[in-house]
Amino acid sequence: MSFSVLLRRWERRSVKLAAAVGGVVALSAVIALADSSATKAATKHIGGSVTVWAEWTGPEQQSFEAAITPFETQTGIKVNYAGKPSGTMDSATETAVKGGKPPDVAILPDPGTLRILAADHALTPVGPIIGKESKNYAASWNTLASVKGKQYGVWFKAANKNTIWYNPAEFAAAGITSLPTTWTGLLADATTIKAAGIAPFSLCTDVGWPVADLWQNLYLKSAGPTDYDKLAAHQIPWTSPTVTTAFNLLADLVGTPSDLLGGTSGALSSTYPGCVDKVFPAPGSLPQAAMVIEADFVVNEINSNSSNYTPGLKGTGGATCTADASKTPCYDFFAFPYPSASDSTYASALQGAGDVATLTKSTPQSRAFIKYLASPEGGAIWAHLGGFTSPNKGVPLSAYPDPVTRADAKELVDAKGFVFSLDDLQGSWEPDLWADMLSVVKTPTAANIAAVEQTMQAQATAAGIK
Amino acid sequence: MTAATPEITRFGGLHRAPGRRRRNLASLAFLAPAAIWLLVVVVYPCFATIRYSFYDESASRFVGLANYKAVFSTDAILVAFRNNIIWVLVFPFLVTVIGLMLAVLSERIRWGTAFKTIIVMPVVFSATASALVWRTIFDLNPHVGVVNALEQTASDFVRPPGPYPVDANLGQSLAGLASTGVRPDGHGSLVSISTVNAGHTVELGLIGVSPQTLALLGARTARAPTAAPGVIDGLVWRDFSPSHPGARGRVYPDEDGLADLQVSLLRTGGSAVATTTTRPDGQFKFANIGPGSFRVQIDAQNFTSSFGGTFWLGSSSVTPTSGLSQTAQALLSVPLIDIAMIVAYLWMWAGFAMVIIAAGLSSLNREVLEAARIDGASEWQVLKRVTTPMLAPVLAVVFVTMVINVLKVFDIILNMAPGSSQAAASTLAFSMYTHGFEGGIHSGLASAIAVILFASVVPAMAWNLKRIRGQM
Amino acid sequence: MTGFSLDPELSRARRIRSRMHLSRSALNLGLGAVGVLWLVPTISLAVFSLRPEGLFDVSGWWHVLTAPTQLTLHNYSALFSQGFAAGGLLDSTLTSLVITLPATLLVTALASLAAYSLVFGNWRGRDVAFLVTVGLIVVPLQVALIPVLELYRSFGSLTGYNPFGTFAGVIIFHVGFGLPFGIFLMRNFYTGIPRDLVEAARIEGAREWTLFRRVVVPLGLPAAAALAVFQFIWVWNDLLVALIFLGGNPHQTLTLFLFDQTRSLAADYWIISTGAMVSIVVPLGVFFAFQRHFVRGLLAGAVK
Repeated sequence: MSFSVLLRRWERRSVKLAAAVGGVVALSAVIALADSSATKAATKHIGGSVTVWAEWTGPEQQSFEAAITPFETQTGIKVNYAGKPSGTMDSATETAVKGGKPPDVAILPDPGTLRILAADHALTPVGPIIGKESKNYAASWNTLASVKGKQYGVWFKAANKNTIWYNPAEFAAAGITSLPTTWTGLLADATTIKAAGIAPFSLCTDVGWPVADLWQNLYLKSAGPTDYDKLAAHQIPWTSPTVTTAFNLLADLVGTPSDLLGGTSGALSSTYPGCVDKVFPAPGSLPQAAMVIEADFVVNEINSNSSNYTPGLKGTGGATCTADASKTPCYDFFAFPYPSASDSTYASALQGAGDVATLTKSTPQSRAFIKYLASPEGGAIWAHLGGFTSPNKGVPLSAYPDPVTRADAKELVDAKGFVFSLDDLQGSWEPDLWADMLSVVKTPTAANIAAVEQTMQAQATAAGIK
Repeated sequence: MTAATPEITRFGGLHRAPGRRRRNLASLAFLAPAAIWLLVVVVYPCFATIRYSFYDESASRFVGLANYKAVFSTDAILVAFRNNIIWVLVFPFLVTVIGLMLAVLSERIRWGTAFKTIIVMPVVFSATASALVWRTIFDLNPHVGVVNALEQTASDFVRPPGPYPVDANLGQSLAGLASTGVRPDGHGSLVSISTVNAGHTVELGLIGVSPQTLALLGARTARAPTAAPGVIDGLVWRDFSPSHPGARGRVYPDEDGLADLQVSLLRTGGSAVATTTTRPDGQFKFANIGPGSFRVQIDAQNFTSSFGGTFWLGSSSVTPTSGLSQTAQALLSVPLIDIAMIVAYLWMWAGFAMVIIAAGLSSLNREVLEAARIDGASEWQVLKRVTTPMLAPVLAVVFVTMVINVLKVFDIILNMAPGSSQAAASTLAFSMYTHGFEGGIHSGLASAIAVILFASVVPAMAWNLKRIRGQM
Repeated sequence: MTGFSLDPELSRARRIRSRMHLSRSALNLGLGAVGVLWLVPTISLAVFSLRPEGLFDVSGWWHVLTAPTQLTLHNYSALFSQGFAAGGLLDSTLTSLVITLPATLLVTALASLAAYSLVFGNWRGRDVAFLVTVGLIVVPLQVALIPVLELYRSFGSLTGYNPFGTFAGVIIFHVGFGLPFGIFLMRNFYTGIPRDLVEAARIEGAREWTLFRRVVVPLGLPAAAALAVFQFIWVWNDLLVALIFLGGNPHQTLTLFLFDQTRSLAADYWIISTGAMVSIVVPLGVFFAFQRHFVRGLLAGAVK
């Protein structure tokens, strides 16, 4: 989808954007002066063009195009970008590969498709092309983009899924002053928020992936990254006690329909990003719930709803966020809690996801583009524009525009035990896994959890055999 | 006839009639573009798909029946089968009946043409647009969905909602509302836990009241009641203080009274002695009461919830299946979303059925119908005994066409079912897309589903062929 | 019979007439209600597209009955003001047209030619060929998605031109799946043209092409129009084929445009309703302009 359709939303943001673009110019000058190696990647004039597909549309597309402008001017290469609607990038790329007409560079939203395409010999290894730029990434990221020891992709954008976003006004109205760090603490706070007459959570369900994200956080924080990776690789059965523990934690939340905006049916009728809008509405509407559990890409939706939203606890004009969400619209997040005070071993483990750039067609232009994406330059520009966290260590924390984004990026960099979203690694099983997660939201009883675990184990086994 | 003789004709002057062979060649050349096109785009792919269905995902390794086994052992695809069966059993019959009714009835009115036009219009709309319209019609939110708005209006008329609604559909309960000094009596009211005598006060605390409700009812800061002789003074207040969010039971300065609540004074036996309404600061007063112990009741009508809405687009089953195995549940439940989609699809296709049947109707022998009427047969009898049997061939065509149509149902699911219901609403055509194309192309599985889909239209195809051969 | 009458026939007729009169007003009322009910979805869509975005989930569209001042053309002007930017509403409308028109013309032309050959040709096996075509009418197009994808790729690597991701790729597929019904419809109509007429023209020395163009096509125009209308609406409303075969094309059809917006329903319903209105106005126009042809197409099409 092209950004142009979202023009009206965009108009609301345009003032902010103008300021941001001004900032970009200044920022790129700073980067160019401070770190000339970052720009070296793409200084040679090449000319021609490169076709790039990614899942960024609307504001994200604008930001991405700003981030690659230096590349275009330095190399004379025209970037033909096509943004795919969310959730369709994998199939669009694979269909295009199958149809014999892939883009030059496909920026895939998960490593699952990268593995499939690499196995089909549809990708060119990027290791030799990016050279020492690969040191910009933690080993875990490079491993995620590798198949049989060969690196096939460069991570350009990361998503931190270790976040719960809350409307500070609603927290103020409920008198909550210290943010929860444990799951039990969070649920206790939910009870307080309910006592104040506010729905605690606007639960995102959509086709099930937001529930999978939530469950994966619970599994990671209760069973740890080692077990998590084993489960993702089907080395632990879905009927194991660790899985049940995580489902029970999920049931603690969804088994209390009064914690969910609209109860169980309300939760099940939600779409993403509609669930975000309930907590951070456009001007003129009041928030209907206090929290939304999703990754940091939530910020994009908040900002597209209103340019008045202020990150952090300072409202417009620097005033502290008040209980009046219409006068001081703010947003903030806290780290996804660990199960309880006595179960905090994996408190700093972090679930993330990201977009990985792959070479679906190797040309001088596409190779230059991959090299540019691996350098910190483009990431720094987007970071400054907001709604972006970079997996690239070369992007300085100072590039992020506000304390909330900086805290978000810092969490990602500081994580001990990084894991990738498990559902994205399941290939054809993914949609059924999502449906299983929804089944638990619908019926969070012990009997159904046991039944769902059996189903999932059977599906995982079947998916693994292929 | 002297075909070989040159003559001047209206077809371009002097001609020698071309030879028979040349003419045949020409006519075959006319056929060629369509034939080649069909062979390449339709016929060859049918065979290729059959072949792929026996190969693995990348179409390189022969796997025998593995893809078919996968189809029949995946619950999600079994659900698709179930939905296809529901569609085929319910939809063609309903649409034929409705089409027949509309065709017969619209013949009797002067504005029949206008009426038919209205009914036919949706036939030309895309399933995508129609699905997106019907998605709002069945929306859960009564401010969006007209169906739920009607249900709500009817329900509010029968049971007017109270000022402090407690909605079980949202997981709320009276017990969750009671905080200090009250408990549910089991009949929808809250009753004070302790008894109270004249000359004493009673304070009843509730939680879970939203700031918006308070603003709406014009609530003021709660004031603790003071005792007066011969009178029971009381307070109902929002027992939640943002400055002391965890503290209950004490009236803090930032807590509001609950206005407009109907409270009753109960004798210990249970009968109500007096009734009054709380003031904006939450206070109430029962005067002129005799001696003895009383309880204060916050009446049930305060908590009557507004209608919560039917989740028409949800996957909850209209048939009871709890207690069955997962697979049995998958096969036997009929999700609400199916009903909603079938209604939408009836709107889209009834016009088609009506037009075909009306055309059949207009070619019927009117005299037979008139004779039946003159013989005193009621309209219903004429329709049942005369019209319908005479129309049987047309009805069969409509029915079979609709069977073929619903076997391919796809767009409406993608666009009408919310994400969380799509798995429950899936059909074969839809699961071929989700399981075959999403999250990577799985050509083996997708082809197996396509072959099954193909096989399921074969009976209809045979019926068509037989019919058309009979006409040749 | 409860009544007593000198002329039982007459009284029965009178009774029937009065019964019919009574039921007539009930009928008018009932069908009127059905008609209004039938219009509700379309009207609601129109109202959604004419109301400000913010009202979507806070006040029902029917409130417009009491507050008609809510109506505004802002949604349309917002979407139209983007002009023909790729992916926008106008661009998608144009794309739908650019795909639909050639697909319609090709099907009509090729089906007419083939039907001519099937009816007026003298080669053996015409009936079998026709029956095969009839069989193909009901083939679900899902069957061909993957193989055609592969065909496009092979064609691309052979010739350097790959139809995947192009309008041609979508059109080729649509023509393939439109032809069986097209041939069926045209052939059925052509069999109604007196064979003597054609034979006479042949004897007068008409070549096949001349015969086709000057005699059969003019006579077959009603059927061709019916087919064209039917095919136009069919292709215009397609989602799946464009979804698969348009690939990375920055231009998309209207149905794809709508589908893309569904992911955030409440936030984008102003776009959806406005786009959907545009998407239904075109086939509605075609329908009203060629109503008779469309109905004829439906009648013939009761197999697809």
